[in-house]
Amino acid sequence: MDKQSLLHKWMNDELTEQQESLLKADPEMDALMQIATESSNLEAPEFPEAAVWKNIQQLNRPAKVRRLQPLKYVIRIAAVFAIVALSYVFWQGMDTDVNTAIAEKTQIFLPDTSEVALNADSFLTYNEQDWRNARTLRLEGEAYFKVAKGSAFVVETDLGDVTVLGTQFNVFARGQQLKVSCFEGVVSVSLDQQVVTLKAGEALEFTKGSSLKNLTTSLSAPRWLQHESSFENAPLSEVLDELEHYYSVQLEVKDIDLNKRFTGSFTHQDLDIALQSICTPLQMTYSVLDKNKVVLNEVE
Amino acid sequence: MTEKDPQDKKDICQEQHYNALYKAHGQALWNFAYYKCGNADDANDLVQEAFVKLWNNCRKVSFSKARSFLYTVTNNSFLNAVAHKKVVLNYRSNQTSGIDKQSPEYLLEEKEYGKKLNAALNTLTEAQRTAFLMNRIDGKKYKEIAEELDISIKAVEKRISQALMGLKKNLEGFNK
Repeated sequence: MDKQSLLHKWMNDELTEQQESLLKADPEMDALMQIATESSNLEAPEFPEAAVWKNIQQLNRPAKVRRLQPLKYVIRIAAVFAIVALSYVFWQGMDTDVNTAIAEKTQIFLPDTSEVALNADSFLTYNEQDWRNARTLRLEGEAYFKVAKGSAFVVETDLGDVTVLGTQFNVFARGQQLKVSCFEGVVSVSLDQQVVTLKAGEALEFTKGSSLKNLTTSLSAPRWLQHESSFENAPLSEVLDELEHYYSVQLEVKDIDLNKRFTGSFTHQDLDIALQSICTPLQMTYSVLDKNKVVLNEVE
Repeated sequence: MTEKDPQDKKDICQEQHYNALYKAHGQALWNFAYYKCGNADDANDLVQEAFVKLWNNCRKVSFSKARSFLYTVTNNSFLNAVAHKKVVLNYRSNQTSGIDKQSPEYLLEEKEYGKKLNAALNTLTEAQRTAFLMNRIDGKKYKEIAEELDISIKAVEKRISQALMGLKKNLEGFNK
């Protein structure tokens, strides 16, 4: 066996002592063996085992993967359907509310092409979904109706219901007063104890606790649609109440008889002119104090 | 080769087995990396990279192939990233010699010799040095080294012979 392969065997710890001493006898080989032995005494620097492991574990930490959860999607889809179904049911049962603020007027088109003009400071509610079955509205305040022909059209108020078949009429239902004016067709007004039928040009005025007044109207539409309120022999208190629906003012009256009668009208568009229209014929003066405060006085 | 190694039942993707591989081969792999690049920080990076790659490929690599996978990856990463750096190795001298060699004169000589040996190792090629030190420091048999470097035993012998001759030549140069 040549010396090189013997040397390799020695490096692999595969030589017997005899063979080893034989190899050492060769000075060339001995030198190499000495270098090899010295090299065995070397050490690599310390391996930072724990620190490296920590890094590895950090790098191996899986990126957060969210598993698909089919059930979750099913639940989500079901939830959407539930919301749609619920809102449909809810919406169908819901009444449509229309509200006007002081000095605000609005026009409402009902599903059957009937029209409602809602005066200021009024509240109207009806069920749009159920409209074909029952043309019924509830009113607090004042509104003018142009009713398309069809089944009974009912306006419910606190004091009575107004029923028509197809016509134009005005309903005023504020506080203790109900006033109905018919401009076209026939209107039936059912009060607590009686039913009154109004033909075109007729009107009625009902105040709770007092008698029913039959009136006539020569107008073709209520005055308020022209932004005016008109009165015939009305007590001042009623006029001032009405004024407060169109102007957000606080009226203060000093030493004035509220039962003074007023015949005339006032505009909804200018407070000064409106106050003049009321005060001049009744021999009163007015002064606007704050923005929203008006004091009425008797002329000295 | 369809020969089944019973070790292959172990799934590297299971942390306990992965952990065991690190315990078994981490140190030797780090030394291997160090012999190659001569820099502890680079060795850390190489070992880290190799083990992370093993984790990412844990389904493809069988347990028995894990060791050679680690060495191959380390070698490749070294060739890609570190090989161009200037190698300066520094080995500690391991004083395990007998008491009769503890005379100051001898120690001084030993220290001097250690310095020279270190310098001589730095002159070897990376391939020679790695194979030689795997045998000398880690005490690995040629067969193991051949497996880990993915070369033949003959090639290992050749590298180690060249390493010894190179060191001898270099150390003689110092002495003269």
